[in-house]
This record gives sequence, C-alpha cells and structure tokens, in this order.
Amino acid sequence: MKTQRYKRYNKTPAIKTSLRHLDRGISLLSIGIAFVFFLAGCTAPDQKPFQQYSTAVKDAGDSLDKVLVEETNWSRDDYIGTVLKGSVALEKTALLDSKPGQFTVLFPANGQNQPTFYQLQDVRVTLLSLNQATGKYVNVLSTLAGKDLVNPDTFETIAKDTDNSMNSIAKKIGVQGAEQGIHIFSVGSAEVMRLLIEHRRRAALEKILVDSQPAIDEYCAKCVSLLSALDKSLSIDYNAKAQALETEFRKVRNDEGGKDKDLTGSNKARTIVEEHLQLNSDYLALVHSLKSAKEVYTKLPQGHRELLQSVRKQATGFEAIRDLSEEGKRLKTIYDELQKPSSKSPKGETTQG
Amino acid sequence: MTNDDKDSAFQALHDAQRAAFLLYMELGDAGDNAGAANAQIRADRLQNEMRNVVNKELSAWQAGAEALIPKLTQAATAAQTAVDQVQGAVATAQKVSAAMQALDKAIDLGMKFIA
Repeated sequence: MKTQRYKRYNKTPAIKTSLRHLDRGISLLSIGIAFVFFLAGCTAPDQKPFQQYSTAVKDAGDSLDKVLVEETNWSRDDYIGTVLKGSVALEKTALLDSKPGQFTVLFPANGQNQPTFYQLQDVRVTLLSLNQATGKYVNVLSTLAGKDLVNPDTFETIAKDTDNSMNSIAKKIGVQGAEQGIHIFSVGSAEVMRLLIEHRRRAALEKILVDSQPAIDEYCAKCVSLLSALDKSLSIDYNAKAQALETEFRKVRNDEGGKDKDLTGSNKARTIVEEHLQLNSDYLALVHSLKSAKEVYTKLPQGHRELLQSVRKQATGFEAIRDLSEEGKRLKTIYDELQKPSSKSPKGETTQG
Repeated sequence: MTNDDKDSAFQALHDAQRAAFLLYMELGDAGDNAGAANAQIRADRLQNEMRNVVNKELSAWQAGAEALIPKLTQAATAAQTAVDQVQGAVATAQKVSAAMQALDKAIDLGMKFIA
C-alpha cells in the first residue's frame, strides 16, 4: 500500500520535492529533539563541594601562614639567643653588605650566613603569593560552578519579558491569534538557551579542572615540603629555648645549694619550670597544627579530582573533600587555642643560658 | 638524596645534639667544667649544622615555589575567562530580550506617528 502511494507520488516532481523537504524537516526535527535531550542532561553542578574545597584551601593557607609567622618569631628569638651566647658572631651574620645602584643588600659571606628567620620571612612572601594565586583559582572555580552564574530564574525572566514584547508587537501589527498570546520565544526556548550555556559551563569546568590538576598537585607537594622544613626549624628553636631553660634551672639549683637541694620555696626555679611547661604546650600545639596542615595538603589533590568526577557526573562520595573540611576545622581550632593570650609564652622572658 | 634520607640525616644530627647537651649538663654537675665546655661547643656546632640543613631546604623550597606561581596564576586566569564567557552568553540572551522590548517600544512610537 505504502509502495503504491509512493509510486503515485513519484509521478509528480512537485510532490517529490515536497516529500524531500518533509524528510529533511523530519530529520532536522529528530536532530533537534535529540539535541534537546542531550542538553537536558546538562544540569547545574553541585556548588557545595566547590565551596567546601575553596574554604579548605583558604583555611589551610591561613593556618600555614600563621604557623610560619609563629615559627619566624621563634627563629628570631633563637638567633638573638645564639648571638648573646656568643656561638654566633653578630658581625658575621647581621652586617649587611649593600650593593649601591643595584637596590639590593646581601648578608655576610654572599648571603651564606643569612639567619633562618630572614629566610622564613622570604618564604612567607612567596607562600602568600602561592596562596593568593591558589585562593583566587578555587574561588573563581566556585563561581564558575555556582548557581548564580547560570540562574534559571534569569532565563525565566528573559522568556517572560520576550514573550510579553512579542505579544505586544503582534497585537500592534494585528497578527491573528495575538489576543490569545503567542509564545514565540517562550519559556521552552529560553530553557534551551540556558541548557546550551550550562553545557558550555560544564565543558569549561571540566577542562579547567583537568588542566589545573598538575599545578594543584605541585602546590600541595610544595606546601607539604615546607611543612617538613618548618617542623625541623621548629625543633631547632624548641631545642634552643628548652636547653636554655634547663641550663638556667641548673644555675639556680647550684646557686641555691646544689644538686640535692629542695627548690620548693624558690620562685626563680618555679618560674623556669612554668616557662618550660608553657614552652612545651606551645611547641606541641605548633607540631599538631603542622601535622593537621600536612593532612589537609595531602588530601587537597584528591579533593580536586573529586570535583572533576562530580562535573563528569561520575559517582563520588566526596570523601577527600569531607575529610578536608573536618581537618580544616580541626586545624583552625588548634591554631585558635594557640593564639589565646593565656597560652603564649612571655616574649623576652625566656632566660638564655 | 631522597626526602627520607634527608629526614634521617637531620634526625641523626638532632640526636647527636641532644646527647652533647645532656653530656654538657652531666659533666657540669660532676664538676668537670672543661669537659662541660667542650660538650657545649659540640652541642652548639651541631645546632648550627641543623640550622644550615634547614636553610638549604628553605632556599630550595623558595626556588621551586617561585616557579609555581605563574602556573597557579594561569589556572586562575583560565577559570576567570570561563566565568566571563558564560556571563557573556547569559548577557547575550538578555540582549535578545532587551532588543525585543526596544522593538516593541519603537513600534509603539511608530504607530503613534502613523495615527
């Protein structure tokens, strides 16, 4: 039956052409429907993990900076202590050599004798730049993933405004059926537009996350290696402070009667012991914060991969991001405790041996 | 030298320094002032060695970190460009709507003239 009908149509060239156009129309419609179905999968990404990640990066960066500042202070104390003890000569470590016209100064021995705390200050400047660049990246990433960027409400407004304008124009120029309202642009068209933009946003997010993974890996590795250096530097400074206190305690004991003398009544001896205990508390808190920061920086690369997985709609429980969030809070608590005035060792009161 | 090797070397210096300091204390208690002074010099030297190790680590870190800044900046720029493009696309959609409204107003004005 069908064949007969076609045969009959085929007799007329005009019908033949119409059929060809109809076929093409159906094909285009099919492609259009398939395209809309394809786009319909482009839902907005979940912004929450991006925000959590951004917060974790910021918290970790801030904490690392605070530990660095604290360690710089300890290192400065240590340097002053070594100069006063005589184990380091001031002129060999602090007499700066200027280079007129080059706008630079050098530490003695071509910078070889630069005290650690100066190096820590330089490190801090670099770390701040690193953190700033990373912070900006994760912030913008969060914006790119954000609901506000491709807001469905905006598109609904666009559709309504356009519909209203079109209907108004149609009425004015007397288009038939304008009274009932013509939805030429319509909410549906606006939705297709939104989906197209959403598709573009997802593609951009995916590319950026893939391209930036090596830089994030390297950044985290750098921060872990800095934490390791800070751990060592802290141990040196703790040693110096603690050993100075022990030497001082020994002097007090010798001054007040020797090794077997009961020092219960000695305020000097008690103060030294108190200082030592306070020093230990501060040192422990700093070491804990370094350890916690190491946990964060070890997990940050995995968290970044989880963001990519979520954009690619692969199943992810965001374990690393959840851990990051928890560890970030822990790190903040440790540092807040350390910052409390009551837990600070009185500066300059540490007795040097 | 791996990082673990470096850490082990530092730990060895740390242990030796601590031992030298304790020896200084013990010799002092025993009244051996010359021996104590000798032990203290060793403890100080070891402490300086440890500082040198940390200084070298910090210098190496500094050099590597500075090279990383442009890469991170580039990542931030790429993300910002993507945000701008998406915002641009949304703005284009809004312009279509605005153009329709402008056209409506223009027709309105035209009709008044015709009338």
